[in-house]
Amino acid sequence: MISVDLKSKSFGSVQILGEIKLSVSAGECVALLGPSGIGKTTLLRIMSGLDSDFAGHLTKPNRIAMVFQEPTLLNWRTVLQNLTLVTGISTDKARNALSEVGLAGKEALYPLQLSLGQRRRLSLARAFVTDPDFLIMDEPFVSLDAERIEEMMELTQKLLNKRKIASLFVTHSQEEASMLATRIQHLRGSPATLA
Amino acid sequence: MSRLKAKDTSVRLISLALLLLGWAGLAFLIDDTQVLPGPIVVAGLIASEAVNGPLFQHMGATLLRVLAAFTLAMSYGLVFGLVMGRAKKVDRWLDPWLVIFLNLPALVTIVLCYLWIGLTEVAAVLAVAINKIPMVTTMIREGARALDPELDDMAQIYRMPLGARARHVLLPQLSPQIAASARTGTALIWKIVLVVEFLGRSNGIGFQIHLYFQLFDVPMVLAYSLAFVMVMLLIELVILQPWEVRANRWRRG
Repeated sequence: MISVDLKSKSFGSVQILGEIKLSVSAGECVALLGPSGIGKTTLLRIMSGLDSDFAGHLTKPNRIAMVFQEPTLLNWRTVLQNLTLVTGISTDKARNALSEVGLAGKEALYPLQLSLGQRRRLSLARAFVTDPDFLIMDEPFVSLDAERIEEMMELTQKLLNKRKIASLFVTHSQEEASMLATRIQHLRGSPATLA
Repeated sequence: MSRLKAKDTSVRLISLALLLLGWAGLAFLIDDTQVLPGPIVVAGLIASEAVNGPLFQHMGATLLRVLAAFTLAMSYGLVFGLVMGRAKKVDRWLDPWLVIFLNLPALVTIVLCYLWIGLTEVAAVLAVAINKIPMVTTMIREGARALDPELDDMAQIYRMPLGARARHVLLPQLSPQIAASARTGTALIWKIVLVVEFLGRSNGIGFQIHLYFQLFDVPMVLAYSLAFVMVMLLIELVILQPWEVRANRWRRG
């Protein structure tokens, strides 16, 4: 179980987030919707432990994985090394993970030799291969075309169904939220709170 | 691509041949080997010093000094640049020092090191390194300022060990700055090493240049200088350029 009991979050004198209570249980996928600049990514960073400068309390597991807005890969390391060096898993496990996301045979390539969709698949493989207790996805399908978005959503759904992971993902799209999430939360207002 | 490379190589070779031709022409016009010997005369002297003279002994001494100063300058420059690029407060405090050291003439550092430490090997290497550290620091600082914060987040989320973060996340992002400072570094360092040897060492290419300067022996000054230029070019071609190509292999999308 992951839970945040946030009192407030400010940048300088500007308060971005107000009182927020949010918890995600194992096997649950929560979608966080809201307009740009409302503070979705800020809340995500708080829940991932990347931002500890807030008033409130956070309970989170140790094993966390994150899919960033950009694939955020080590472009100077091969596809396989992006899994083994970052997560510390074995080569065999990394090969299986690549195969699971349709990147078998691409192990020796560098990320910039892949298409954007393939790089996002690699980013997804990196997140799932660690068997996380909590998975965070920050607009993971942004800047993909409609066909690729559908493919990626199906793949994410498939990977999530295989595991009992608590997951939280940020999106602008109601459609993406409806397809993947078991619960949808809206962030609204200023300072933003859950509606 | 290979045709382009071949064309590039031939242009370089022709350009070099033209330079040699110009030098030979000028030497022919002056017609005094004690003022300007031609390339064939100098090549003969280099060969003779290599076979019967102490060329390799002095070259070895200079190369060791270059290597020691280079290692020192790159190591300290990397640490200072990284810290200054990542920590704004430290940068604010150290930036004025950096500006002062960047503008300190090499000769002043060399003379002061010899006066304070003595005419020793330590003073010689330190003087060269002190001249180069600010330049490496400046270049690395620029790279450190442009590091991708999302990669830091990624490394934190996936709990990459510190050593792995440095090796696989941090240093590759700084590789363009490291390569650039290494290449400009070797070019600058060996020139300062010659001055250091000229002023206060009893061996090395700089010492030999000093010796033949006192004897007004232009051909030998040219022979020792050009022999070392060739070695540095070889290092550039055999070590630095291939390393840079290897380090940038991943950029070919």
